[in-house]
Amino acid sequence: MKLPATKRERVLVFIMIGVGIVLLGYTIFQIGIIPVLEARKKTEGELEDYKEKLAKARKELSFAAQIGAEYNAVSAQIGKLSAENVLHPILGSYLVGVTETLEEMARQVALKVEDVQEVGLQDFPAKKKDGSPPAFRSYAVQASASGSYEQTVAFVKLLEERNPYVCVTELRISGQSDNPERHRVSLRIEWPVEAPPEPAAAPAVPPAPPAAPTGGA
Amino acid sequence: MHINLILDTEARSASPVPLNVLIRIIAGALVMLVLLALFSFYSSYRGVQQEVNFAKDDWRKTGPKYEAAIHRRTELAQKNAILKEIGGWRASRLEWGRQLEGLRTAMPDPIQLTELRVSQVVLAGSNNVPARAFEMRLSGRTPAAQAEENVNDLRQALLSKPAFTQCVEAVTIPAGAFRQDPQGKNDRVFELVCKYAQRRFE
Repeated sequence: MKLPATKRERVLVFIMIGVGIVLLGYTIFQIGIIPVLEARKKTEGELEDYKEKLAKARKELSFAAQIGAEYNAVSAQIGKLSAENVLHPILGSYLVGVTETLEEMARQVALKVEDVQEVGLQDFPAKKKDGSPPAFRSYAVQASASGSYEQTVAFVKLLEERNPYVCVTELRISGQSDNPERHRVSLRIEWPVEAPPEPAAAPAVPPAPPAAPTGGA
Repeated sequence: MHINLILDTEARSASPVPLNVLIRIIAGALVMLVLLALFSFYSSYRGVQQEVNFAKDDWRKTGPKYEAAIHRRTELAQKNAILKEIGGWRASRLEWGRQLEGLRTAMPDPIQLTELRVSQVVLAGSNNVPARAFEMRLSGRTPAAQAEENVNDLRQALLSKPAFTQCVEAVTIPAGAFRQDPQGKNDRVFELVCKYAQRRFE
């Protein structure tokens, strides 16, 4: 193939060849090179993600033994607290156990417990920061008794020493003019109890199909 | 006058390397360079892909352990929250046995207590942390002679005795609470209100 004889035509041919090369290069760049570069970039990004995840996981796993030990210790602590300091119902009733405990302690200090009335369960005032339901509630009773000031002090001390989670929230000691040695004592005492677990959300039940008509009137 | 006897097609270049050969060498070199770049790109791309595969394998082994560790950490946080909750309850209480015992030792001899009342309210404390606010009301009787000193002694004792200094915030006599005993002119009756520092649930 020969180039045209005239200079003008030769220049035109060169320009056309140049434009063709540029177009071809651009097409190859768009169709061939850009997708390959993007794929590589994506793969490199994926690799970085995995590296990051693995580094994070290895760091977390380096604490796993420590976390496990701490978890066991905290679980044991909670178990001990639950067994020793948290009130548990007897056949669904807290009052039976509480009355027995109060009467047994009152006997030890010669205080006469006259009546123990259930006040009931209440929510703990403190809310968790994460908004999760509280693990405990409080159970309160109102007890009335009679005895000397010393007996009352000994009773309250015994109550608080035996269970450092028991809280006396109300107390009234009134002297009796007819019997100055024996006072009327009224106490409101609260114990922590385990809160029942939150009921799981009920699954959506489709409405029952209408019953078939019976032959009734 | 210059006469060119050689046609253009017959003209020869003075260069030892003809232009055609030079163009072919440059084109060949360019092709080689492009091929080399493609090979280099491909091999490094394969390397990255292989690294990704290794990382995936590693994650397959490490991932479940990591998930378990995270789960355990979450459980630990929940258990710690439970401990904090019950610890807050304990911190909010006041040991009334100790207070009553302290009161017995703080009481001046000439004073006879007739009534002691303890009550509490739960308030929203600072930072939205609730707190118990206890109050103790004492009613008593004392001989008229030196009645003021006796009541003031008791008031001072409630502010200074070790059993109370850490927890009693203020001791006040409500207006009109210090007066003549309606049952005997030789005695005075009084009331004292001890306000305790708030005890936060934390």
